[in-house]
Amino acid sequence: MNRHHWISLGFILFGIAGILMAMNIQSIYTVATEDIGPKMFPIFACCGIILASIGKFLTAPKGKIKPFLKKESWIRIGVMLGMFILYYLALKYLGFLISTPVFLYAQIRYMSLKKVSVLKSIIISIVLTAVLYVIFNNLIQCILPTGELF
Amino acid sequence: MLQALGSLMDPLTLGLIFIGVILGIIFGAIPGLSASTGIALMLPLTFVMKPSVALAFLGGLFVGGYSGGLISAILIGVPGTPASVATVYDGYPMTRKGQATKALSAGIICSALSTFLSVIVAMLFCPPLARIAVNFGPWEQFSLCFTAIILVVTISKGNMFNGLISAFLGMLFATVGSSPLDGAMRFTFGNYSLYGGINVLAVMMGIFAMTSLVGNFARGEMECPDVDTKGIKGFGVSLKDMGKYAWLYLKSFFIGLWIGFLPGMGGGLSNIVAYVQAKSSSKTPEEFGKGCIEGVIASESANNASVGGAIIPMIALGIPGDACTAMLLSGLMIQGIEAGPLLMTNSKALVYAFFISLLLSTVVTFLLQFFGMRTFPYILKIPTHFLYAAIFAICYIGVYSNSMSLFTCLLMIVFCVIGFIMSMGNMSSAPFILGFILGPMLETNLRKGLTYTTQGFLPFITRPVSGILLLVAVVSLFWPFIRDRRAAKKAGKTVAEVQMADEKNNE
Repeated sequence: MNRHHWISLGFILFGIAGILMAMNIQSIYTVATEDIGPKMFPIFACCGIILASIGKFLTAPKGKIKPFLKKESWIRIGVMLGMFILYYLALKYLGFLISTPVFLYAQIRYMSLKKVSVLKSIIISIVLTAVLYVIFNNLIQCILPTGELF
Repeated sequence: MLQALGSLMDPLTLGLIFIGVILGIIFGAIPGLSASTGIALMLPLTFVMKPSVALAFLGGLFVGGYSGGLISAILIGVPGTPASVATVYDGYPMTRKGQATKALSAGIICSALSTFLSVIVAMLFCPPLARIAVNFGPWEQFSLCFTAIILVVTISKGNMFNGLISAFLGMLFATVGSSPLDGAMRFTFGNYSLYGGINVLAVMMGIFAMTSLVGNFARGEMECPDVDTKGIKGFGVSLKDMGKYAWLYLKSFFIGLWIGFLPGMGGGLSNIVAYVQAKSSSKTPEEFGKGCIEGVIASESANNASVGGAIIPMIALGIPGDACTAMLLSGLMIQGIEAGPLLMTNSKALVYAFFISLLLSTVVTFLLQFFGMRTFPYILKIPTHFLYAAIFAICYIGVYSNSMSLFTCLLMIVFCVIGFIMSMGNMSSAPFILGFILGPMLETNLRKGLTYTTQGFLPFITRPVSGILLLVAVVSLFWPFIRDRRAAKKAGKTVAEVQMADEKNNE
């Protein structure tokens, strides 16, 4: 079993869960015609996922295959996803003006592998935040997240 | 037409086309970014624009992005976009021989000419095609959407099951929210933010922009190699030189136009087909791969001819041909405009304004690239850690400004993770996006088709256009299996072994 088999199994389970959930969809009104109702299309899509996943499972290369990513690459993805979730929480609780420069600073420092100086990172983070603020707040006139705490 | 031209002739619109082209060239030139990523990121900026202005801006990005791919392909040997893969084969060896200007000039001229002519072809073909399509009932529309999805699936890289999973996943996620016709709530888990369905921008940004950028960073594929600028001087080619390759150009142009027209087979495929064709019909095939200008001409003529080719089904039928046109279609949806055959009748001025903006963008792209050739190395030197950080922030704020809800930002992160799982399984995002966009049309037309008559599924097969389209879908779906069976017979292996070998090659 390699990653293709595990992914196929994951999608088969996902498809089964989707069918079980789709069975509980309630239609607001019953149509007297030959309409298939709101359940059928999601069930059809789930069946498609299951059948295609079975096909993938059976035709996936057997034995050991080249790893998708190296260990350090996985760590990078983990850190990036962590930063994304933290930025989402920061936007929710602290608002755009506090969280964005911090997020940008962290991203620049992490992605440049600390090659960019602290001062340059701070200046660029603040300038980018200001540019985004002007574009979205003033030009597009969108009220940016203000934060629940402040 | 005059009304359309008038709507574009104000300084703001022209300025936005200019900015769109510059951004498009930058997104197309930097490996790892693409025109699709550029369009997805810039969609939020179009919320406050008039539809014609928004489409003109996105059109600039589209044309600039398609043409920009040749810069990195020729100068550093890394294709900026999948549409420029074949340009690398001869473009980069030309740079190493000190003929960078010749390769760039030939590429720029062919790109501009192909885009321009293909848009003219699209302008001529869209109205008659839309007139035919406007008579389509739900049966034909269902079959058209279904065939488009199947065609995209069949050209998915490696194992076709990967494309099928991706397309069905897209269709399943499109069912979230209230169902068509009866408004029943599906997969909303009591969350009000999901009642209107999953935000299309959250899907695009998550599965397309964020997944690819985080992947580039994780694999350490952010920095571009240094550019040798010694060979960039003068214009490199004369009209007489280019005239010698007129026949090769025409062949490549029509290959690109046709492949672009077929759903899912955009510039990513056309450049390779045209390159192979040019090599096989050349008197000096041994020169290909060593810095032969014919290779650059074939690839760049074909990939840009796909621009007009892909626009035809998008405008006339409401079917996006590739990821880029899917993004443009999302731009229309955000503006509250429904693409499809009626668009040509109801919003004729808008459609022609879009065509004219594409032509203007082509001219701007040509001038910027031709006279700005010496600035190309600087584009490739933009520090990607600054660019990527800014793009991530734009993704968040763009998605938020579209829905005014931070929940959509969370959805975007979820789709970024889904995108990774799909990449792990070698699944392309194009079938997913097509499934997501066409899923609601597919379901609505299926249910309408079933309720309009008492014959159930029969009219889907018995109506001629619908029947032929479904036949094309079925043949396309099973053809790879028949082909594999034949190959297996020849090689004395089983079908599964042949498919496994395909998958292994893909690894």
